[in-house]
Amino acid sequence: MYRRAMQPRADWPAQLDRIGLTYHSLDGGYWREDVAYEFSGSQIDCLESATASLHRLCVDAVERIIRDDRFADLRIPEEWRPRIIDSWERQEPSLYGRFDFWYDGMGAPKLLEYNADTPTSLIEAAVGQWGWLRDTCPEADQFNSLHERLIGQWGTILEQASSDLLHLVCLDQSDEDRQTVIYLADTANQAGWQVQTLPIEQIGWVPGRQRFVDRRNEPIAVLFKLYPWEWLCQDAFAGDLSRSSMLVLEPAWKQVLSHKGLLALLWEWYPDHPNLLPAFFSGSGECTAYVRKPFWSREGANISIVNGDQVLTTSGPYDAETSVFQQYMPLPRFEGWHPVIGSWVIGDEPAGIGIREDRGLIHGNQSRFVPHYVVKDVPVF
Amino acid sequence: MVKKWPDGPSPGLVAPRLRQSTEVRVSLAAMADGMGEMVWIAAGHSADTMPEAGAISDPGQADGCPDDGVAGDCERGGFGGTGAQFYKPEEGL
Repeated sequence: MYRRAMQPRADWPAQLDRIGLTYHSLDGGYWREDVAYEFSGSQIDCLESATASLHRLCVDAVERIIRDDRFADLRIPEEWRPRIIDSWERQEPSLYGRFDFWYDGMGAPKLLEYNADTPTSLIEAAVGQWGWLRDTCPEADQFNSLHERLIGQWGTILEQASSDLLHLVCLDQSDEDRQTVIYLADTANQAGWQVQTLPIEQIGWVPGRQRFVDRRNEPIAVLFKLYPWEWLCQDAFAGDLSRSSMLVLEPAWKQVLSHKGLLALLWEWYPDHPNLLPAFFSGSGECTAYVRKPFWSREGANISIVNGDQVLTTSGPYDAETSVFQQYMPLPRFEGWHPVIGSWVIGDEPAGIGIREDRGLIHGNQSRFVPHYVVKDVPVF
Repeated sequence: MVKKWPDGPSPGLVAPRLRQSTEVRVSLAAMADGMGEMVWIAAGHSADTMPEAGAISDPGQADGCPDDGVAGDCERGGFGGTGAQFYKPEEGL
């Protein structure tokens, strides 16, 4: 694994605008292609294997959380639990998720968190870096079958759905979310869905019909929401969700996987798993250095790294009182930058990676996206 | 090794599959007024030029609720409130 200097394409902003990655220059430059990460095939095998293994553990974890009634450990309110259990028992389908890994190219990848409910950085991983590869180093390869697998999984979900009309929503304020939803609408449409996008704020509820409707008053039978379940459950329409037959993606059972407390449960059930770090609900166990992560937080907000007397903390709006404590493992450093590997699962399959890097040890919304490529392993004689 | 490359294990030997459907995006943009505000804006229009809700809704539904006898019960704005408390536009991504 190397961080290589690359020659940026002369027209890269226009190239990214064309595919919908319109937020490429936010915060002084979100997308950068003057560098790229190089992997060997065996390193990609390692990441793929870890992704598949952790996905299986996570699916088992949902079953176990429900069976052993571990909701209280996660501080999930009682009124939210029936929806989670019901969606699991109905085997409601999932589209995607993204594991974030510590990885240095040598040791086993370690799970930092699982973005199971509303992962983003999707257009850049699925399309942006693929276009970059074709233009810049077409002789190389890339761990990236995201686009094809998204279309495939949309097709699988379509076979199970009661309608072929899919509504996709997100908050209206976020350009990234909006473009992500439109990209997903594109892939769903290619799989045979009729698609309709709208801001989540415009969804209507008709009590007399016990159904949600869109801006044009069409019933919403299948909803993809780029909006976390823990927010949905606190919104005014939350109680109406259980009265509606609307299928929601990601399903409610993903709520327990996007919860940071999952890290502690996985460690409890699978101690010494090579892709897990020790994690606990209270205290830091035997860890001399640890990271405190709020149960519900996003984009690196309200994170604390405690290493002896040194404490590094980020601000944010989330409740840090309910947190998980995970062993601190400093991110690898490449020329002063710390990468985190985002490894995607589409349906039940590993589907590719995207890399974000930061000069700081806590990644946030200003961490930059960097493309990657894969070279053949050099035979060892 | 399980397939992980979009074009099969021997890149360059197989023509790349289309990874981003320009055709679909164009068709979405062309029918933006029927696709909702997000696609309308993504198609290069500003929110100011977007048709009013009444223009998008069918005649007789200017209040944005179904004209089927239960229109008086229709409620909007019940989703998004919690997220709006956390989202700060200046934070960007």
